[in-house]
Amino acid sequence: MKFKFFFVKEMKKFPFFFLLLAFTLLLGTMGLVGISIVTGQVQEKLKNNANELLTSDIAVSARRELFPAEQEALSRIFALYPHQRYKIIDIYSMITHIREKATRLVEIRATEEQFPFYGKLTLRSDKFENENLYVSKDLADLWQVKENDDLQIGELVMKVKGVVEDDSSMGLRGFSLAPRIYLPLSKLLQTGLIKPGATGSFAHHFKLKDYTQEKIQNIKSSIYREIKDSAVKITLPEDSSEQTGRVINTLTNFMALSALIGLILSLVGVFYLYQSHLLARLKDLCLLNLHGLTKREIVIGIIAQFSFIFFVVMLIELALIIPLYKILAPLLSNNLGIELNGEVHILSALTEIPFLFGLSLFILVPLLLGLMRTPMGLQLKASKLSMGRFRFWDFLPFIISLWLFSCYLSHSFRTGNLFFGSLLLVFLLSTLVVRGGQLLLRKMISGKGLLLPTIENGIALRGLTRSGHKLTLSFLSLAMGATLISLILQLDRMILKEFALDPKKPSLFIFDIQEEQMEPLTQHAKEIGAPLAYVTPMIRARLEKVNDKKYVKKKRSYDFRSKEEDEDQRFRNNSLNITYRNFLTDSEKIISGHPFPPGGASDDRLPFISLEKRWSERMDLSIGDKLTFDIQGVEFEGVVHNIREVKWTTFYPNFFVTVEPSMIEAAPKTFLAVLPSGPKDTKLMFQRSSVEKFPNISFIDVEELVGKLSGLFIKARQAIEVISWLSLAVGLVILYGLSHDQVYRRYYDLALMKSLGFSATRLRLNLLYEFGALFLSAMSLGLFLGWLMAQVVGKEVFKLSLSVDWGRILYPAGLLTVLCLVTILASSWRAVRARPRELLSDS
Amino acid sequence: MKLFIIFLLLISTSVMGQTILFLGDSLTEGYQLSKEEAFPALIEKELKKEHKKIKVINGGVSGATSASGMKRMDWYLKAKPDFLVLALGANDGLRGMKVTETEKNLSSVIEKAQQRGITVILTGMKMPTNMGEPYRTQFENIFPKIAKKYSIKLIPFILEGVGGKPEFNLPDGIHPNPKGHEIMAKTILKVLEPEL
Amino acid sequence: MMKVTNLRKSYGQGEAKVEVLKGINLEIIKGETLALIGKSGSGKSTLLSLLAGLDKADTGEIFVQGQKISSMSERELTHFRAHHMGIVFQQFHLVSTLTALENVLLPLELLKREGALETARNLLESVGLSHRSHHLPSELSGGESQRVAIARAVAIKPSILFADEPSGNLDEDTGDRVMELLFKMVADTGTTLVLVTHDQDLAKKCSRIIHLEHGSLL
Repeated sequence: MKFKFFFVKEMKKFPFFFLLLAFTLLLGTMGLVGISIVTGQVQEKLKNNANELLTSDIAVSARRELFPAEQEALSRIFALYPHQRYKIIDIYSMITHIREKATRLVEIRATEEQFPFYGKLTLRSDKFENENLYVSKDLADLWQVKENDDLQIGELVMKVKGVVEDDSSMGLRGFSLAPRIYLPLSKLLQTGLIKPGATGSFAHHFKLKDYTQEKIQNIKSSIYREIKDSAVKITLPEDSSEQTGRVINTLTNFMALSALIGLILSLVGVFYLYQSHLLARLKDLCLLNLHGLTKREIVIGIIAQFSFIFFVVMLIELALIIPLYKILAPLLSNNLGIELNGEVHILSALTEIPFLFGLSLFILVPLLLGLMRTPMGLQLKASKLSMGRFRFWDFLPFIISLWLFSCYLSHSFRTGNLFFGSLLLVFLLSTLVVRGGQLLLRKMISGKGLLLPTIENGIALRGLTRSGHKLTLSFLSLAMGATLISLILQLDRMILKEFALDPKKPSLFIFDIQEEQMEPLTQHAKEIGAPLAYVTPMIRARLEKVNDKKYVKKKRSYDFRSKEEDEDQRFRNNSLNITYRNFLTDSEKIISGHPFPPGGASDDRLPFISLEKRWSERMDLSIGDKLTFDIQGVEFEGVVHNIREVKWTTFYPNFFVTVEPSMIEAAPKTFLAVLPSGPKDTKLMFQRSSVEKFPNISFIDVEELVGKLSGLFIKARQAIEVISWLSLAVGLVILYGLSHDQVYRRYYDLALMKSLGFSATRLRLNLLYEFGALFLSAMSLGLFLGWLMAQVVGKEVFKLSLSVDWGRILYPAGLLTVLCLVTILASSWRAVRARPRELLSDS
Repeated sequence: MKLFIIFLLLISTSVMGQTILFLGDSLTEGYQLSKEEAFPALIEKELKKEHKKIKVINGGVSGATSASGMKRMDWYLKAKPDFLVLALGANDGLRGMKVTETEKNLSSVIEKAQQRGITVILTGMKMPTNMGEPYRTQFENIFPKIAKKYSIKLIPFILEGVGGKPEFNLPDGIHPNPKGHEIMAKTILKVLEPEL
Repeated sequence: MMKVTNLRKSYGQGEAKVEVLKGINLEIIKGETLALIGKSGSGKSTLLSLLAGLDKADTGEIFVQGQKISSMSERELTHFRAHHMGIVFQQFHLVSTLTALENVLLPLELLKREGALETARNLLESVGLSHRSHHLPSELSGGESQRVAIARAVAIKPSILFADEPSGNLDEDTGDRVMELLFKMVADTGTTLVLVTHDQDLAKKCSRIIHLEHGSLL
């Protein structure tokens, strides 16, 4: 009965407090629940995306037909798992466009029924059906192939049924030397092109009926056991997406981090709200205790109230989010570059809720324990009520659960630890600063009067040094809030810089340009209105010695199990393409060592060499190493002068080794160049005419790939901006609330000072000095620590490089200063209206 | 400039013996293998048993087409080779280049070599079946045609006994492995050795 | 020194409107100690707040030392209070972030009085709290806090001192001692005292007693 009274009546009596509490919780958790739904979908989409690139759950392929024994082994392994399968053969071939009487190289993708399991082929008109011949839009445009045109493919002549506008399995898996056509597999076999000696990719694709990661791993292990030939490769979807994966991982990590930050900020708000509320209610709680309600029952009542509010908030959120998401999904899809369906899986939203509840409850533990420690009976006798103090270890449940939640949200112990650890460090540093600051101020005011030089300032200084735990807590909350805001903004800027687009996007890579063709080609391109960019010489060389010792390959096996091993193998074969130049491209940056001196190589020293970072790490080379190359029969020695980092977002070819000019120019070389993005007609005209004039030159069309990636980068950037602004908004609201509360607590002091003769102006100045100093110092510290944290988190989690973006430090500083002033003025407006009358006995 | 000087110094060491230049692509370079495992080095090793003063220059560049032949020829002429084993053309075919172009480029190289009194041996190539007819035939015919025109020895197919056989190739199915290179070396030696 | 004419004050609106003071007329002579006595809800605190310029009357006039404080703006009132009035509250009301000494110093430094620190020290000594001058209000007992409040109230040598149930929150012994101190300080300085109390015995210690009942003087 008493319990019910307490629980229900309390809530009826203080609707404003509970509304505010609900609002704070809503603000903090909405971001998290929303983001977890989006992240869940994004990750599923990423998996699907990856699946779309592969078109299946798992592919087993080789550069030849699988032997009967191998096929038998596959059938045996897959018999254990209900599945569907098809075969894809990819080969290059010379086909003839009968109408135009022209022959050219194409890539033939021959597929079976059910292709693709994932993803789709979008045609210009009509739907993709597996029994017909289709051409890619590149081929259609370049070669003017139309529907119903006849193409001779091997011994077969087929009519073109349609043009493929978009193939979801293409684009992100690397470059193709030739445009694609799509054939049914049965037709390919009729062309006579597949005979012994044919080279191409022969892949068997499988889709499991009930997919689980475990099943796939089991299948993979079984295949490795049964098929020992390293020529047979197993490809999983995660092997097929590269830059997309990285972009999307960055995005989801960022989203998770900002959601966590929003949550922490709102929990700080919750703590404050409850602290104020409980303090205001303390007298009544003491009275209730006096009338028989035990402290335990009071605490349980408070927990019950809070839980009720929490679950109501969750219900509102889910009720709001589901329809909101349906409306926003297209907008989000647009912004994130990922097709999100408007369906919300309740489950993905629900998984977060227990964690959120736990965390929110744990932030109240110190207050509840304080309440338990309050000698309630005695309080009624006291002139001023106060709650029992909380101890540091009261916060342990919250701290531990925050740590665990950070790890859970970031799906990585490392990231979670990093984030949590740095936050803890920020907290400790802030505590040191505030305590140190107070000590300093205390020394300043010791033995002096109140006029320092004005009375408002004197009182303010005392307020700053003598408010005890309250001030420390306020400072810490404000500093942490500012840290988190600063962190988000800095990270946001760092990530955006990372995703900065190459202004000169390439649309064609041109290579195999002979030296004597460079001039005429450049001229030709200019005449067409398509000037070339990134003209780079390319010289073949082999690394022979390092520091006069023969360079030995570390490991030799033809077991190309993974892309990395594949790359490693290529690296370990010490032949590579090198270039010479004295400048850095837009996507390069020297991370150690010095730039090449102007003027090129000189006779008094060994020529300088620049190495790309990743390659130098793989080859175990560092600055100062003397490298000996065999450049087509001639030995060349140089010394490593600097290490370069190349942006992973760049679309331009990356040279692992560059040499300073005036050394190797004489060596035989070819050139590569790039045709920047421009009008499509110009590109086609250039390609067609160049093929005629310079038949040995090869072109790779990267427009689609680059377009897709750029689009992805742009959208990721937009998403990140939106999220960081949202977090900033949440942060500002919370900080405003905290600040307002701080100022407002001085209500009675202000009333008293007014009664003693302080004018409204003096009171405002007093508030301005005291809280201005408190807020500004807390926020400045927070801004700095946030920047520091961004460098650590940015480097370790997002693999970004250190940066100082003064804009991103100054504008939140400006924003927070304005917030301070607004808060102080707004709160003081009310506070200086305090009626001294209220100080009297009957008030 | 410096490179030239080094080159000239190297030349001086080979004045007394015979120099064989292998001008080719990834097959000659020994794609993904060490220099010692590629057939030019294997040939050198074999020849040195009988002919002490043999020097082999591996002028293989992965990805090279016949168009690069002339310029690279200029480079290697400084080394004053006595023999040229011309093994270009495969990449032309794989990229679907016009056979007339390949023919033209190879011819230019041979003419230049012959002008300098270099003995040329041409290696023939074949395209995989997936490239389709008539291209395959047209491509394959380049080599005997040129060999006849310039009266030079022809190794009909550099990948004889290697091409299409998984046990002699790397997993990519196109480039020979060390065993494959051994066979290639033998194939070439059969024609080359008698010429020395 | 203080003249009050037809003072009226109501609180609330409409049906909930309550007339707390129903036309008070009063004169206070300089140097006298006036006890304002009445039951709870009689309006005595309201009257005190009006006299001390902490609130404004609906109608009526208040003159203090010839100045009409009832028509002063808030700013003027605050200024006037700072120079001429002292207040001691029932709940002590010390500025929580200032020490005992600093609380006493406050009104002195506000008026930029010469020798403020010395004066404050002496005052604290006179209330027997020199040894507690560097303690914060949270560290003082009720009696100590009230003594500091008294010292603060008399620091500027106000013409008039208002005390609103000053011993209300204290136990009997402490209360007695505090009141004794108050009366002594007032006597020493010749300050006019208006004391609000419900305690008849305490009221008898004043030079004049006036009764307030239901908003009117008896």
